Amino acid sequence: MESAPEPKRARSAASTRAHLDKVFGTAETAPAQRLRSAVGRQLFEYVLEKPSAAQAGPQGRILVVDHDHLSRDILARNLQREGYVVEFEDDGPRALARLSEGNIDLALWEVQLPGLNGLDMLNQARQDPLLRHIPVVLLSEVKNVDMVIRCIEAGADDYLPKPFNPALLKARIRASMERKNLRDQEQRLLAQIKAHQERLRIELAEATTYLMSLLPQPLREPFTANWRFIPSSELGGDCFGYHWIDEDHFALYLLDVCGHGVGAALLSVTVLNVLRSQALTGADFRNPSEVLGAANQAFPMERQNDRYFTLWYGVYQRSTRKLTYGSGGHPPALLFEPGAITAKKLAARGMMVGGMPNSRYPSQSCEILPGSRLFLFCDGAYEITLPDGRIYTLGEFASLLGQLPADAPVDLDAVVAQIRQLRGSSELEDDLSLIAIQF
Amino acid sequence: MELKVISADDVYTHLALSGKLDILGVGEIENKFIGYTAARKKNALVDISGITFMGSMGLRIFLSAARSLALEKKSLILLNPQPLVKEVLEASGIEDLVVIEDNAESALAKAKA
Repeated sequence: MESAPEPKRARSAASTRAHLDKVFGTAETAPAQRLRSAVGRQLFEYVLEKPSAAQAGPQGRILVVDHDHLSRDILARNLQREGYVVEFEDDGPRALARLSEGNIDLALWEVQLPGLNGLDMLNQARQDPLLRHIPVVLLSEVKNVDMVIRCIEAGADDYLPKPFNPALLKARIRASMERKNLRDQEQRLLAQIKAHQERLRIELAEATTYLMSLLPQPLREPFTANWRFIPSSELGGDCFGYHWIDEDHFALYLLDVCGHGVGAALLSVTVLNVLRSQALTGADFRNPSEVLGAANQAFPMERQNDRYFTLWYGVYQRSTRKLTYGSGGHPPALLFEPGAITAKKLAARGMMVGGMPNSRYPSQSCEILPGSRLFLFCDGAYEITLPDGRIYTLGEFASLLGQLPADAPVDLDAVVAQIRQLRGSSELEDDLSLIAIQF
Repeated sequence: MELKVISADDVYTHLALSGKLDILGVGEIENKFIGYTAARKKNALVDISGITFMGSMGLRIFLSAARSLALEKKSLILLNPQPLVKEVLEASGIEDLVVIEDNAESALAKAKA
């Protein structure tokens, strides 16, 4: 308290003291003014005599909006002492314009401003996404309590009565700043989360593009093969393919790794590449039993992050018109013979691939009549929760396929549209894979 | 998804599952289910009549539990699946590893064996 002021500081104090004498008056002034005078002088003493405390650099930038220059000068000295950078505006419109420029952490504004009162300013600020989160502390004389209440209801953060109590000023500014800092931190975290989500979305889209690039081209001769693949929003574990093993044997397969997401997709793509390149040790790719058995040995779930997959694998021999197939826990394929509206279920016994070492996958076979249609699909094609809560069934899905016009190419888009309609959403919970082969 | 423990003694574990055993349902009960089946190393009888839907992740927890129990020469017995759930179980080939029963007395006898 007794430390000697610096010369410049002393000149400034003397000048301010003279100004205060004019403004606050003397002991002979009216009681209310004497009260204001007493508090003002107390504040003046605090400003002048307390050692400077602008210790640790800026604590934030505060905009003081008040047309009373004396009041705002006192405020500024207090705030600067606490380490804040202070800017001023005289009226509401200019203050709003300054806030819009950004870089203001808190606004202190007088309720009764020329041009735009505190309530109008608040209403405008709170409707502006850029200004909505800037804390506002009101300055007001006690007589304006009703206006203060309306302003707080409109979104003001706090209120400081004039004349100011320095301790109260410090406490309320600090509390508002802490709230602002927390809100800023929350906004930064939210922005980080959004950026992360966007990056993830882009990466999932890239993964989907890669997966799609592995899927086969439609086939025109000697029979037609076509497909639709609609990945779920988070990418699933479906993959499929078909290719000629030799001039007489045509392999077709569809697999579904349990679960969704990148983990399932990675395993799915790995298995697809193995099947495409016929790279299972010891397996004759014309023999479904051997392919399924070798895949089961190559991809045990305990070494695949506890994931298994289902696989339907078939080989069509052109010379004999015979289809041999096996299944590792996969839904049956559906075969519609010419003119039939009900399907033969091409099911074969066998455990999910990777589920148990040394599992056996006995093959089945059937003759393929000219004009037959064969459909391979995943469970996402029919495991649909209908609006009434009932689960759509494989039988109903088979009926849907049976109703496709027999005298026209298979319209897979119509099937997909029907499935979307049943789901009631264009977003799918699970991948939808569907292959149609017309012999 | 709800997992109810009916009994857990020195001979077998008796559980009941109800709800939708999709990826979310599995997340709700997986740890507890594995704890009461694979970790206890006793025959496990699970009444699944209350399961209304079973996805691939649901199959996975049965498969994991059954594999662990098989190493201890114990069984996982699933009792009374609804028709659609039974269809999924049969299509999965899990019957090689899991006992599926429609008769409660027979299931209980197998659990106590």
